[in-house]
Amino acid sequence: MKRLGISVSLILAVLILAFSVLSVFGCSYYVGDNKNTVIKGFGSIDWGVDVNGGSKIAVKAASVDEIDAVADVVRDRAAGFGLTDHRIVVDEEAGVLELTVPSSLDCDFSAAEVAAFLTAYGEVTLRPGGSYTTMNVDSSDSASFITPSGTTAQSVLITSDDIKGSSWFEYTEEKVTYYYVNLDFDAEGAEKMAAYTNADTGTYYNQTVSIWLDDRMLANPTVSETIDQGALSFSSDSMTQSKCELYSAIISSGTLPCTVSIVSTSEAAPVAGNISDIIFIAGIVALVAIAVIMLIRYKLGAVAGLCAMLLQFSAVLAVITRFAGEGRTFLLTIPGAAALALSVMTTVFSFLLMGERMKSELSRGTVLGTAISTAVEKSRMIIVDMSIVLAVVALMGLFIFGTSGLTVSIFGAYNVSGVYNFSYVLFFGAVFNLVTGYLVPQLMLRSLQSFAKKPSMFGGAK
Amino acid sequence: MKKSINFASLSKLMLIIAAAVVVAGIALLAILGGNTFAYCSFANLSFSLVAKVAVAAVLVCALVLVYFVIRFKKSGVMMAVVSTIGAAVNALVAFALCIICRANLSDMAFAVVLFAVALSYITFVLFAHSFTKKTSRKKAAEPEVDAFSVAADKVWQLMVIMLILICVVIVAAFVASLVFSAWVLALYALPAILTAVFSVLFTLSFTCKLYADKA
Repeated sequence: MKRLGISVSLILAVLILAFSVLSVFGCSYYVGDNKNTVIKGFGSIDWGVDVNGGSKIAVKAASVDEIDAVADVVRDRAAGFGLTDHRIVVDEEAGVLELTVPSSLDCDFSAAEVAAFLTAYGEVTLRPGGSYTTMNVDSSDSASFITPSGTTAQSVLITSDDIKGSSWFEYTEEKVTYYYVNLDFDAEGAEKMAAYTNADTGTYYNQTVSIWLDDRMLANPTVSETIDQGALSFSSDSMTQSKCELYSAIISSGTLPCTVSIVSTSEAAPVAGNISDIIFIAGIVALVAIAVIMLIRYKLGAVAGLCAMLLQFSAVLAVITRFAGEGRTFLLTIPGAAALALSVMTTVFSFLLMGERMKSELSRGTVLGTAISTAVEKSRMIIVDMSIVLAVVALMGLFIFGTSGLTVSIFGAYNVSGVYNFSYVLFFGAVFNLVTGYLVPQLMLRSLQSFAKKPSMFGGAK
Repeated sequence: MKKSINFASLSKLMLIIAAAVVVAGIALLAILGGNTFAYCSFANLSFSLVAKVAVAAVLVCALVLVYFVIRFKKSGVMMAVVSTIGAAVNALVAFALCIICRANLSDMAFAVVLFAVALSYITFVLFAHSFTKKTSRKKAAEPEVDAFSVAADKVWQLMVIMLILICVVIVAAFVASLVFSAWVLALYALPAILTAVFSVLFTLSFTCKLYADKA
């Protein structure tokens, strides 16, 4: 196996360190009082219900027999909104559903408001004009217009029955981003909409109409063109990405099978306080302890293992925080944090395989270069097999207990957030281990031997 | 000279321990009833959840079987069966240990179970490689019975280091939980450590025994 120059190790170490710093601490800047986050770090993670608690809402179905169907729609909405951690408990006898949404949700609405939205009836209506009865200020400091009045209340142009789905998109003009909710009509809805907005004969062409979700007005645009493509896009000054995501998730899942009434709202306590601190401190202590043990056992060779371990931790963390991606981070729970630890341990173990083989070769008197080559070659397939089998196990947990649209459509909506969290993190850990557990240590070991040629520097006998 | 462990002869003891732990766990939950011994956070362990667990187990078995057959040809079938049985037993023991240690039967207990499954597969993959290497290299000189004993012993030596590191991580989390008075979290430390040690020992001894019987 070809020996590499020490520069390879140095470059790799610097790159890994830089990536780790970005991944752990993130990168943000201020414009006035506004914080702009470019890269999300550990501090940006949205924690699950077990870590930071949540907001709980209990609703009672008007028809007790329909409570399971109500739960299915709520689960669909939660999945559509990407709520990877939430709790749904159904009391079939009482016809009561209890939904818990994590408190630390990165959303323009509070957790309590999100919970209320997800359990609301969800009827979408398009009405003439935009008269309302009351104006409130929601948790995002935006005005919300409640309950239609006058002609707006009397006439309904389009209802949820005419809508087959919803999505959202963003549009940037002169560095300003606007967020739009898109409504897709069925054939009947499209026909109605085309007639209402026809430039020559339509009653509502050049008129203001309003779109309502139950009794809340989402927008009141003026129709400026004929809507004959079977879809309507709308926005408002207060529309943000998270609001669009929430509205389109609710509209896409359709209305509840029956009306519901709120029984109670409360706060759900976390499993214990300061869990994010516990995870952070335990992680640091464990990393230091492993580093010390590896340095004692493999001396200079341990540097390769430490870099691999650091890269694995940072890479999995980057997946959890979604690094430079927009939107919310993955909702991490305690099982997810445990999977992060297991992912790092997998990389440590991969390096152990190489390190132990290298040590045993060195103790037999094999020269350093050959010992490293043998160690790398003999451990290659074990690391590949280990990573693939772990990825397979994680993938099944991910699919079957997950909350994505595909998962829910195949396996139903009963999700167990803990299993999903664990599997999600472990899956990426297993996949990354192919690079961090094999490629990085082997490159660094081959490079480090040009710096120190004594076997004792790699854990061999003096 | 290092003293080696005869894992095949350990298998009976490990099976007895596994059975005892599982029976004790179920008995504690059933006899004491309700949530008096280990609090169960899943108020409604519905049929759909049980069905999902069954589907997950079957799919994992099928995919692992396919992968092992591709990787290890003929012997892959037996490897897949053995590794999956080992993982299933370890999962049961992990869950029972959570009950015995009075840890909440919540998502975290599922995490301990999955941790046992993952560790079980890691140990098995290591054994499979070590064993395949031994038999292919010394087919004529070394009988298979010795080959898997040597392989298991080699894997054990590696896994001991791994177990020490795992314990370091768990103990660090345990101490941090105590410092922050997170007792609920601290309760998982003991079942997690016991699960880790048991998973490795059981997988090695059970695999050795099955291979010995086959040989």
